[in-house]
Amino acid sequence: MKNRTHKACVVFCLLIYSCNNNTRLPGNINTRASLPDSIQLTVSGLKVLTTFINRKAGTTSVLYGNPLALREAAGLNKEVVGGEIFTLVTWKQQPDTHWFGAQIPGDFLSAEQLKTDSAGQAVVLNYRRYEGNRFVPDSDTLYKSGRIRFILAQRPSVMP
Amino acid sequence: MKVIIKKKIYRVISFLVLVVVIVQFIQPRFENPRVTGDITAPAEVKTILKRACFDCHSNETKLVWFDRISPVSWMVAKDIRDGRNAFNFSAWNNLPAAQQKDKFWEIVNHALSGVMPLKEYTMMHPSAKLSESDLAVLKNYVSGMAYTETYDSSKATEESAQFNQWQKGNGIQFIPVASNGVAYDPDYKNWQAISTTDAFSNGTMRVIFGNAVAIRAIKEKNTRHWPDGTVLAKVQWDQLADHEGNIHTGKFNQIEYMVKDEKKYASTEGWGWARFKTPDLVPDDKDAMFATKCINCHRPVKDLDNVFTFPIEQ
Repeated sequence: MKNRTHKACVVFCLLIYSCNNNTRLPGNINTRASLPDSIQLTVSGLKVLTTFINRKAGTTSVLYGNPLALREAAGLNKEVVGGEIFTLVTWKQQPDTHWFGAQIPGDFLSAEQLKTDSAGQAVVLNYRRYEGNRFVPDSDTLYKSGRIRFILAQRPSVMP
Repeated sequence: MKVIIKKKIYRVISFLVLVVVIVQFIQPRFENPRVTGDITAPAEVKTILKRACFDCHSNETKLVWFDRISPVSWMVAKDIRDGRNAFNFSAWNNLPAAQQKDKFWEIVNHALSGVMPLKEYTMMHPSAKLSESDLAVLKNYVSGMAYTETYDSSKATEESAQFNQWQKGNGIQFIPVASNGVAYDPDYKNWQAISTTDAFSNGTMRVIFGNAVAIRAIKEKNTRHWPDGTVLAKVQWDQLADHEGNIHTGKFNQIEYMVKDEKKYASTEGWGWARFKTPDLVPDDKDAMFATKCINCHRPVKDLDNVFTFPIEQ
């Protein structure tokens, strides 16, 4: 009987300990801003090119690029060449609960990818937009060309 | 038997009383040096500062009788010394304007997170406790110090000049190393970004990078105690507003590293702290108190292994 009570006691203590331990773990991963798996692939292997904030929309973005895209953005290529990859990730901003006076990425909004392909003499610009986890087909060519121009106009941030 | 125990207790008590009496002769010197640059702030703000901060962070310390009883007085003296060293409202106006603003944002954040005033102080001096309305007054006041972003052609020129210089340069010729052994690591550019910050408080923006060890820790949700080998790099630029009011990265200001090595950096919370300023990457380690300043500022996140960043999984 005594033995059983002891065992029950130990199990009970362990239970309380494990519950306590879990609740004490601060959830400091920014899950709202974390990228869906399919979007992670569009960023994987790319480097940070620049970051910017849209005050009116309350969004923050990071533009990534492969080495060719980085050269292009720095103005080292005379013109767009094939093989450039840009990914622009945009988040809604949220107040930083660790620091009054700062904002950090909140909900993930979109990822836009621009890939350039050589087709003979010409270069083809492929633009794709993802919202949340899904691909959004853009039929509005004016919108698309505007976004392409915008992405190509970005200059790398100074990173010595 | 009972008589012997009673006698023993009596002896112990008299010994303790004697010790307490003797230590009263060892008293720290309390001085209030001259006020040289008293803080200028609206009356409602100043009243709060005087009530909650001035005892340790000014030359207008008001001691109550129990503050003078040793050994309490020794702790009080240490708190006052540390407090005045951290910042002193009686010499506040002698600080450059930008530093006053940065410091005040830090002060408000320490008040909001409950780091300050110290618990052991408010326990003995309950009137120093900050109420919700006190905090609202402080937040409102500091918000007025936020950076206002407008298009500034001189800032744009400054960024362009720095950008051209950076593009022309052949990279750095040697690796700068801070006095605590933390070296500037150019590889951060190949690491993943784990977050960004829009610090509208002082008009800067940052990207925080994590090395492979840090990324693995995020994937495994092991960021409460970042593992040894973790390196976090935070790059900071000025905010540069364009004509449409969008904010881009302006002048590069600095890169800061936190390098995790529990043994090597045991005296600085397990982290090696370093800051390299300007594109010349000059180590910011002239001040022997550098690491202490880092740790002090990071106190609101002491329970999160001293890391402010909420990492993004990507």
